[in-house]
Amino acid sequence: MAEFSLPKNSKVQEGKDFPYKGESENKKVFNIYRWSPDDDDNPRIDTYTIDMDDCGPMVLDALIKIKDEIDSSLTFRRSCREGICGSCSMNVDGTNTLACLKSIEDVKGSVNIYPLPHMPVIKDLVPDLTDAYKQLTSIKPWLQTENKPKEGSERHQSPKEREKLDGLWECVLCFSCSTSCPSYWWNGDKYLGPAALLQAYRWIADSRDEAKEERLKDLQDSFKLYRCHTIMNCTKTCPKGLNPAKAIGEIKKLQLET
Amino acid sequence: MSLNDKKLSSNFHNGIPHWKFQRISAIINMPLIMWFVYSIVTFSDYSYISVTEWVKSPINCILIASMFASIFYHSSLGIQVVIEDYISEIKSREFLLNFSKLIIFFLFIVSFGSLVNIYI
Repeated sequence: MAEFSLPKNSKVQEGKDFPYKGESENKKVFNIYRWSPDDDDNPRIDTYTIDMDDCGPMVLDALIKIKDEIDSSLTFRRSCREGICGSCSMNVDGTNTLACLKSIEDVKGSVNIYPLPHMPVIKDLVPDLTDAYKQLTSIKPWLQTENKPKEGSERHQSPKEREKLDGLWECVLCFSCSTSCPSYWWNGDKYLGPAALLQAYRWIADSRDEAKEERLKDLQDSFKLYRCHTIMNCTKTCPKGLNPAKAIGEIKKLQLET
Repeated sequence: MSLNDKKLSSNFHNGIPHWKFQRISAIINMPLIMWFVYSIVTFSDYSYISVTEWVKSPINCILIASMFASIFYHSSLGIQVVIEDYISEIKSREFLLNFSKLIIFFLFIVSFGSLVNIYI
């Protein structure tokens, strides 16, 4: 059965409070999910108050400030800080997003930060994405060809053919979409999820790829693809403004045609 | 959750026919239900005799029977999705899928039998 309540040791408790000791007119409160595998404690929400006059504009800036100046044990992933690497995906203010692209100003009141929903947590804001990566690998996200291009030539693509990849190639694999999808929450071990399916369509739509039929056949399964019930959370949450639900719809359309 | 290659390559039933027929039955349901509701609302007389007279008309009878078939078929497909979504244990899932189909078939027989009863 689907689980509708959290196990006892996953219930989130009140954590430590780190008030701002100086004087400031521009303070902001951050409530951050904390859990460590090193002790037997339940997850908790720690509260950090910081001076926004001395902090960058994005949620990631605040997290880095907290880690640098207040609590070095706070753990999160980050790398490029400009929405390209997809590392800092987390749930901010109830929506999955990239912390580096989410402006603190856009959040009214205190900022609640949790890891990506319904994934095993490694520590604090770091989810275990091992299975999501395995699912991505299963759709073979690379160019598959039988024929070789002419000697000394590249695989050509017309501007029109290339246009079909717009809205697909931009995905940074942050998995905000997959982890926002209720279908993925309930059947994440069988349903591939919007991130992997957007990638699947990215290769199906690529004019240079020669494994289109095989790719479509692999996705005929009622769980891998057809658990998508067009809930559209994926499209709503995508921090890059992409539309995985449309890509999934396109795969279904192509399957009807073949 | 831990995925291995076997689980990733495992195949459930082909999802295309279910997806296709769920949409086709939804499209068929729309005009039939709209026609049925419109007909009921615009009755001038709701007495048993006049309503059964209306049902007895061959065209109405055929349309109502088609509506029953389409609605129950569509319900069966919809309930199948709900069960597959929320029941992950294979044996319970299989049992509930068969049980739901049985219930829906029973309801269809009762509805269709009532219609035949009025028609005769």
